[in-house]
Amino acid sequence: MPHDLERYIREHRGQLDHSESLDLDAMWTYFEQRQRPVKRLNWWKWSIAASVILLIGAMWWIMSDSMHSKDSIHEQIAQIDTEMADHHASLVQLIGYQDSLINSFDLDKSQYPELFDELQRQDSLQTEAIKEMATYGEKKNLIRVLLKHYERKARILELILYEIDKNQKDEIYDATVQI
Amino acid sequence: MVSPEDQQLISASLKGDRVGQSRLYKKYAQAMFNTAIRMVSEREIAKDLTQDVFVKVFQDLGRFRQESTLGAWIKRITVNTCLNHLKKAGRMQFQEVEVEKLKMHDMADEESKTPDMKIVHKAIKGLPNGCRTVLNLYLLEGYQHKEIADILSIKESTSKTQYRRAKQLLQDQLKSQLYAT
Repeated sequence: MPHDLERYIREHRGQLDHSESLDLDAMWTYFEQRQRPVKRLNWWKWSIAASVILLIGAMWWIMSDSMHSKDSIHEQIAQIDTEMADHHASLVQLIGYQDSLINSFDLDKSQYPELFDELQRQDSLQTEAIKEMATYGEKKNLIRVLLKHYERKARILELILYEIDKNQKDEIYDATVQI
Repeated sequence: MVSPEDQQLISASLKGDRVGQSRLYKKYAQAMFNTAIRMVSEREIAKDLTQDVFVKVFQDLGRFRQESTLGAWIKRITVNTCLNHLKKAGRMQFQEVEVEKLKMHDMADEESKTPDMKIVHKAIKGLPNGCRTVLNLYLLEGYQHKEIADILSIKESTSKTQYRRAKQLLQDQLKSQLYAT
């Protein structure tokens, strides 16, 4: 035992910081996951984003009015519940807008495998739900499920835009609206 | 005060560069975790506190005035985070100490064996909460008893007696381990 324990500890102080090891890679991964925020927009950015979306939405609505009338899913929903039909229409618009933004980038989908896999899964679930529309008894419930798929899809697209924004330092993410 | 390497890490981190942030994190997380575990003595809590420390580090990096080294700045955040945790968890209690019982062993006659620092680390973790905090702050983090008294809302004399108690317990613990075989 050293005669002066205090002095001994002070002289070897640096070693204490390496006494217990830590899996730094795992810790960093966890830290990053915890840190991945939903980017918060300032109120003025929100209002700009909302205006842009409204404008694009209105233009898209006018241009695709005839298409809407032919949209049998939309019509079917409208016959059952007009509020749900409106929600459906707004989600379809948003997804269309997000899609067009994503398509404007020369995106390597293999960079975001999890997001695109999930997107594909939501698409197939959505298709299944639409197929069941004709035969399923509890139509309102089925529409709710369908709308959930649309909402999830919009969130995934938003995450993809967020990733693009993060990587390319683009401002486009700021023009998207969270559901 | 700040090394060119750290300066680079700070700039990259402030720009939101994930690689830079990851390098900064990995450079300091190990030491901060060891500081945290000596203060709270529980591994899982120390891991969580280390994460909290780096959340604060990246949030406040823009306000780091570079009047100390980056490591010292992060260390201060770590110590404060641990102290807050101990206070919130009600783990900052100080046992009464009878001063006359605090007589250090006369080490002069004993064979001079030096303990491995890992054993010292383990022994510090095993100390009672209150005196362990004082020992950590005074011996390892360089605070003065006056400062410790202010931080912990105790008397300066209490800080001193708690430190002596911690040192005695530590010495007994190390001695029993060193001379056990």
